[in-house]
Amino acid sequence: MISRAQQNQLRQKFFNLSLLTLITVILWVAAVTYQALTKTQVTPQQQQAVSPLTPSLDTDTIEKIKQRQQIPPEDWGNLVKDEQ
Amino acid sequence: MTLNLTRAKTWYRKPESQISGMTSLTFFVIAFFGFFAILPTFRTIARLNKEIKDSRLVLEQMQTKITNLQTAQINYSQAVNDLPLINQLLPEREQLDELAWQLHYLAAGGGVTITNLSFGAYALVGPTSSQTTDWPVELTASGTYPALKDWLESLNQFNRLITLKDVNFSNKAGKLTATIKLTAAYLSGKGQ
Repeated sequence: MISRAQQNQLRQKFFNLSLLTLITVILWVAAVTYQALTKTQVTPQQQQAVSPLTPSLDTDTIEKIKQRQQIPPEDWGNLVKDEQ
Repeated sequence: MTLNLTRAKTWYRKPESQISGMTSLTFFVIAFFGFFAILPTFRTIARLNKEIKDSRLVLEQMQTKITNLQTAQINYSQAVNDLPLINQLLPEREQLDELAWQLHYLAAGGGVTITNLSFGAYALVGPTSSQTTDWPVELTASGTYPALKDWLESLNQFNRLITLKDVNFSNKAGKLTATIKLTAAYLSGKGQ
């Protein structure tokens, strides 16, 4: 025979368990939703494809290269003649 | 068994038991559907939402890159004639024979004689993050001081990228000799 006090205690435990289950599920839903909202959907291939590209060329450096002394193509025969 | 059922019925007829039981049951039902129905739905909605946002971002970046590529193509077509000069300055291979020729040509033009020229060993292994590799070169040259000075200056101004590391002058029997250590750069492609 269950006494009135035990009945009340049982009812209270059952209610607490249901409430705790509901809170857990709500938190779980929130966590999963947050994770899905923050996890990037960009694939590594897409990330590689959109990597930044600088289109400008350093024309100053090219001009400096143009101003460097140009050595004629390899011709050891001419060099020997010049040295003689 | 019958007695227990009767007791349960009696217990459930009490208003406080009915309210408490129904509330608990409602909570359990909500939790059940929340886990098996709402959770997958919310997850799918959030993922699709994020996918749309990311796709828009990727699209925007792709359009920027396409514009940059078009600009780069125009710039490249304008500079394409200068590419051989850049390739000479920083060749794709070591081209040591050409470097030897260039050093001798400059020396001969400036009245300097190269008496010794040696190239360093090639490192077959070894990690490098750089896209260029420096090849060590050591040479000995003799001549007058102004000639050696002009020749050393010309080494930094001809169409091959070299770096002077060390220059030592010595005077033996009235003959000025310079021992020079330098490195010649080329594109190794290891860092690509």
